[in-house]
Amino acid sequence: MTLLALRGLSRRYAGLTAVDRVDLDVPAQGVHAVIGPNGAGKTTLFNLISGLVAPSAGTIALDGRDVTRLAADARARLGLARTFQAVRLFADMTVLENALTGLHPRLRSSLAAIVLRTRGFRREERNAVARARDALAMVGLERRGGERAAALSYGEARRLEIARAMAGAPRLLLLDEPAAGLNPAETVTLGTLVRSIVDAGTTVLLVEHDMKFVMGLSDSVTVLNFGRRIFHGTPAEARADPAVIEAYLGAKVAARLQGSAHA
Amino acid sequence: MSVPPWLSDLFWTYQNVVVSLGVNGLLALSMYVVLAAGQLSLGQAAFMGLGAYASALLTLRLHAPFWAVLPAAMLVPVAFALLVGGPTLRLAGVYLAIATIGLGEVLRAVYLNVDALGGALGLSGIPEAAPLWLIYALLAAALLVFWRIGRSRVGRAMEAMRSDETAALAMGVNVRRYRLATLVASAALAGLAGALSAHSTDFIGPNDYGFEPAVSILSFALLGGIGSPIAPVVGAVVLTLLPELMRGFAELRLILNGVVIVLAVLFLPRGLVAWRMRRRAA
Amino acid sequence: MLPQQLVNGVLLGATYALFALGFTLMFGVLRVINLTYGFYFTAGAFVAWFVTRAGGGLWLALPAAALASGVIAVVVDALLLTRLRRARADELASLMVTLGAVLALYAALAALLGPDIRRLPPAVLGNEAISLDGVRVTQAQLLILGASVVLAGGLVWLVRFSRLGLAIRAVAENPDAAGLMGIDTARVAALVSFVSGTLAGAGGVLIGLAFNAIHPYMGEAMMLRGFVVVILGGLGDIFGALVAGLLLGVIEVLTAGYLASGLKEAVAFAILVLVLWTRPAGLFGRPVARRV
Repeated sequence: MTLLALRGLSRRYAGLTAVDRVDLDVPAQGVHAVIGPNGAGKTTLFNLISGLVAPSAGTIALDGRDVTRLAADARARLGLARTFQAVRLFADMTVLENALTGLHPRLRSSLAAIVLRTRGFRREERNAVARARDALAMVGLERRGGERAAALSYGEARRLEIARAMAGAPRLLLLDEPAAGLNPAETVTLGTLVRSIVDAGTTVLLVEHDMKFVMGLSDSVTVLNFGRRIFHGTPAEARADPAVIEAYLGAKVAARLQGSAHA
Repeated sequence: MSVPPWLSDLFWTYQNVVVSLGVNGLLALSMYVVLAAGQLSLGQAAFMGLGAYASALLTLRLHAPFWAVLPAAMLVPVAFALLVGGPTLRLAGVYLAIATIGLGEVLRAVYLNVDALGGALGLSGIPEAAPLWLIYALLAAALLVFWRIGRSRVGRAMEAMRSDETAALAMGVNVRRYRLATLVASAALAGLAGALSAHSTDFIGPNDYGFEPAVSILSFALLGGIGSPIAPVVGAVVLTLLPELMRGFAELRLILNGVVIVLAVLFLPRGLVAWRMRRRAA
Repeated sequence: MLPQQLVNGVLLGATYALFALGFTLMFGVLRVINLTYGFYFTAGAFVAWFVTRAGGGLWLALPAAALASGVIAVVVDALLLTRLRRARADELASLMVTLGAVLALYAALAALLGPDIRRLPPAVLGNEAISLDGVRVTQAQLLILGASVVLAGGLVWLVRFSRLGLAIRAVAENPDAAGLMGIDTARVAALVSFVSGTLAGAGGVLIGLAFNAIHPYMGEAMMLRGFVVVILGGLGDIFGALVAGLLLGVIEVLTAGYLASGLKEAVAFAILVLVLWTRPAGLFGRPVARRV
């Protein structure tokens, strides 16, 4: 079953096509990666999918529903969550409150119930706090709930961002370069975390630079170059694909590799 | 039970201040609710003026009872908030700030030039029908409501959009709806404060709701802070009492309010009451 | 009747355009809604009042007022806004700081000099009128038009064609990149503040002449026009401000002539709200970075 379907998705800026007629089907299961050299349009693609940037052409469907014209917040309420390349936490809020914000679309208490502190409202808040704590435990921050988010280290902040996105149990989670700036040990932990996210039933689509990280983790790989999709397949196929090698290493190196393969 | 004469004297001497404290507390909260959602409205005095004029006209011309006048004093500014806020809240915050400054200036010109609204003479003979206890009861109620809302998904969403609008959108916060809702709530509250003050003073005039009061109301919230609903009220108390203590020329109060804003933004961004309330109810 | 009103409207609009130019320049380059701008206008008018009272002619009063306002603008920017720029505070923070500052400045001036309206000495005004096909134009109005054209032309030349203009446009486009390329962004900020202050000060003198009424809060009333003009022309758009200024002048004169003079502000504001509803990027709707 297809969870996310992109058809002819394009985004043009003055004098530059950042994303050029991209088709992509993301099945409802597993880890899927979008890779490509710097400036290939990966982050623009994510902004298009999450609704922060409007497409110049093409359509986006989530779970069979056309969401091309929906605002970012409406897409989030349909179960689309994301993290950002440069961490964007709510700095003054506590770690737990950040995670609770991820549950925003799931909380239904009316303003009247909130003001009157009805039993239903208090129950809902208790459940929300419990779920937020679960999300924090998932990323190893369960003991830090009361601290200001701004007090976290870089690696912790990245993990909190994932916990915040996961607290609402989204259908699809977009991770924008989750391994950027992490040391090798943290990267390994991140891999385990992504696996556990998938096991919890959330599909993951990630943009990443770290090839080793992507190859070991992903079920499918899509390669972008100059905004165009140049490859889609398994990691093993990607490694052997001449177009992918050329995009990454440049034409010369690719030719030499091809030459040595023939020799 | 009888009140000792010295206490009654004290009360009558300072009655204006006691009324102002309550009204300014409400106005500070009306500013708080907008700022807490990351927006800046400079129309609080204009909304207050709309409430004051609406309530005074209903009382004077139609002899409407005080209780019927209060809801109208909230609805009229709300209509203007929707008019101004509808388009501007789609845009960056500076547009709302500009449009709301404009609203204040225009309404002043309208009050001045329309004879049916009293013109330059303003409206006088407004019955002093607002009981003191009601002003403080409404202030307490507003504090409680904001306190409780602050500790719920709504309070979290508001702080989230103030802190990082893009991230708030990605969390599913309907930023536009929250912006409009907070502006509407703020207009209603300011209108209420306007009606209460108009019905405590006998006279209102076109210059009571212009640029200077708008800036004063902002200074309440900036001095107190917006970490909790109590903070802006503390700011209002300080800035209402301070000029009373230094009874100088009238300009002194304005200079004080202006300098307070400058210093608060530059050196005291969290305000006097820097404490931040918890944003969860469980 | 109508030709006379159109002429009056254009002449009034020229001062609005002049006033709005500096305001929109500041936003375009420095990304601030600088509300102390209205005070530079007041300050210019008062300097001109002092100079003419001391016997100086307009030829002395106008440059002196422009210079003084320019200096005040540089000082205000250095004291209040450089810190916020360094801290990368958002636009609302600078708006609030300048709002507080301008309130204090107006009140201080009113406390110092009294709130009453002052008039320029009659000799300065030049109320002799020239009549052309029944359209009357006073000398003061001609001076206003001439000065507005010269100052606006000078600004366009400075920004578009001079070396400094290149630096200004680079900072407007991207302050960080401009800084990396060796442009002294602090100096550009000072320069832009000075130029803006000059325009506001000159505007104050000219409006003071046109209405012959100088008082501490005159800049405050002018800011509403300034807002309407810059929103109508597009925030940060110099050309847009010119056109929108003229347009507003004509609309105001026609409103006063055919409806009621008390409705001028209401009409201006209605335009503001209408533009925000329909064309939030201004009449010409150009992207912000390309407007300077």
